[in-house]
Amino acid sequence: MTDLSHQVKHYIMRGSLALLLLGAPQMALAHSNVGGALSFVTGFLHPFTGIDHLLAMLAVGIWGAQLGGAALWMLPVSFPLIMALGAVAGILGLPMLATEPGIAASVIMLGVAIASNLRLPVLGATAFVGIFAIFHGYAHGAELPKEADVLPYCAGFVLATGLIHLMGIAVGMLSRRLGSPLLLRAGGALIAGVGVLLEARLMLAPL
Amino acid sequence: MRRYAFRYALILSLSAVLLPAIAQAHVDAKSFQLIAGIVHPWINLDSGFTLVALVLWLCQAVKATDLIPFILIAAGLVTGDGVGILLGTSTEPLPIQIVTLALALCVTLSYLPTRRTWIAVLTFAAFLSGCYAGCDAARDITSPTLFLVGVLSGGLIFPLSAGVLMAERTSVMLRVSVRILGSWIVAIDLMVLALRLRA
Repeated sequence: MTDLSHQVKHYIMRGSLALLLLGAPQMALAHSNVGGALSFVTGFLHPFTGIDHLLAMLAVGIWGAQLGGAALWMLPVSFPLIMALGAVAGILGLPMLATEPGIAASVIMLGVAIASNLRLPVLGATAFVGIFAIFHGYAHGAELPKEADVLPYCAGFVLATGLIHLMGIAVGMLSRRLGSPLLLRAGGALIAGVGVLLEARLMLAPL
Repeated sequence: MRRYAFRYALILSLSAVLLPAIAQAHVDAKSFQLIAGIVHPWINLDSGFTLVALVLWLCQAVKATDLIPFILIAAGLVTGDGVGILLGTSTEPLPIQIVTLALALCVTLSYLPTRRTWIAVLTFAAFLSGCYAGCDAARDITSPTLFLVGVLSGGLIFPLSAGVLMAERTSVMLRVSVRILGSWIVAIDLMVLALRLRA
């Protein structure tokens, strides 16, 4: 317990330092209304604006924590990378089939994976998550505003995505620590339920 | 906790020194050339990311010889910056994106280069990207010597100290965090490259 709280103190301190350094460029922009600050905020807020993206990314973190071991870091490392490849396809306007249904399906499948406590080997879990990351990345890439200040926008966007993963990991770790895996699985079922609603809405939309 | 108090104090002091300088960078850069030089490598997100990737890479170093590629690449970056400032001509921002991408990929894959060719290519690319950053700043410089001393401190000494401090730690969580941050930089750079290609 003492060791854990000792470690947690260290991580909080390091996290605060990292945030301090991350905030530094914004201080420089605070003096003038130069482009960049707005783009960073816009990019940062983007992943929070769609419930489908938000739930899927949260679920990736939760599932990683549920699987434990190498999956804990492999999933949050591979998801942004594969998502960026999908975003490149979206930015360049490459064709992609059923992006929105694919995103809704990702919410369902990841929710089901958590609810059923699906145990896959690390590479299998990475591939499972990676397939869906392409859909998410493609949608984000296609939506990227042309007028945005490119680098701050992408920095804000990826940072927010990563933070949502970390939130998911924190939820999963907390659940493990509290010894309440059923609560986590119920959360997974809830995520899958929302995914079904999203998919249904997409299927009924043309009607 | 007390064991690391000195290191945290050092990092906090360095940050405290840098933060006001960053805040003033736009306002009076011409009067404080040394401060402007220290801040210069960090003021733009693209070169800032390159240096962050270098620091993260250094965190993965396990023995003294691992420092060699880091120092060569950082020196290439800073020398390029100096040449760029002296030349003062406009260049394309593409090299810096490619260097950052390569460095961040090394961080994500936890790859420490041992092949000389690979180190030489990265050093040359870092030199080119430094040239870009230097050219970009050339118009605001009134005292190149002071400015370059600042660039050397900000672009080499500060990340080197931070990286060495962190490299001493063997915590699994730290190693994992470094790789996660590396993957974020790769993702950002991939998207930026694609957007620039589209533009």
